Amino acid sequence: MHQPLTPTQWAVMQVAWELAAAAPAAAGKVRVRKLPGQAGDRPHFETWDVVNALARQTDAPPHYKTIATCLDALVEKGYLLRDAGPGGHGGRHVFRVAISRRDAAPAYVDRVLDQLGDDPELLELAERRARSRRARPRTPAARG
Amino acid sequence: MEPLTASQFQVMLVAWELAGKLGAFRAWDVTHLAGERYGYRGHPAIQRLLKLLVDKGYLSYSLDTGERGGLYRVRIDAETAAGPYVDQFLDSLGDDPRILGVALARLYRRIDSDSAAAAAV
Repeated sequence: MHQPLTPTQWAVMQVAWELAAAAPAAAGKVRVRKLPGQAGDRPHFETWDVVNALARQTDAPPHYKTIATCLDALVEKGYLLRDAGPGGHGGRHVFRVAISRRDAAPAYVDRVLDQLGDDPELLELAERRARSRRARPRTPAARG
Repeated sequence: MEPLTASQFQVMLVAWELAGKLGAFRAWDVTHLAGERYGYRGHPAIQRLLKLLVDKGYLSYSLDTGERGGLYRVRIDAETAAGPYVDQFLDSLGDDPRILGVALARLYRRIDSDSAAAAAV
């Protein structure tokens, strides 16, 4: 299992998965770049893409440097791959995801549950809330 | 009620334990037990977390005439505090049922192992 993510790293990975999964038709919205000549023509993204996506989600846009540091940590942990960007090694780096959300989730969930402690009442409370959420109808964005 | 961050929640777990034993407790009690339970180091960091928890309304603080600082008391029980904390965590997972399914599976595993441990005592 991968090293678990912090809540901030998980939030950044959520954006990374969205960017990586974005269809070409939505490229104008999420600014996904497909680099020519890459194996599998996988979608890549830059630090600014993540900063801009997070800025749309919050009233307090994140600092570029904070996100750049976070992306470096995610590369270190094996969740992202970093490639030389369109300008070669002198240019900006681009990133692509190295692990699916489904595969990353257990380590993150375990980390949070460790912090919840081992009180059975708290675990059961968490279980009730998670179950009721799963029973809710999904939002259109989540279905995509 | 403003939800807690992970480190604040861990300090509250310590605070609830201390409150069960002592009623009121001092910052140093939290530092010692948090070090024992979670490997926390550094009294100043614990003091900052305690101040934030007072500001958020989870703890109260009263000055003491003694020389060892004031006394803290819990104002919110664990189950009440856990609700917003868990909701925040579930929000972070998003509403993809497959990911919520992963969370549920991990929770069931823990609840089952707790039940098994309780049955073994």
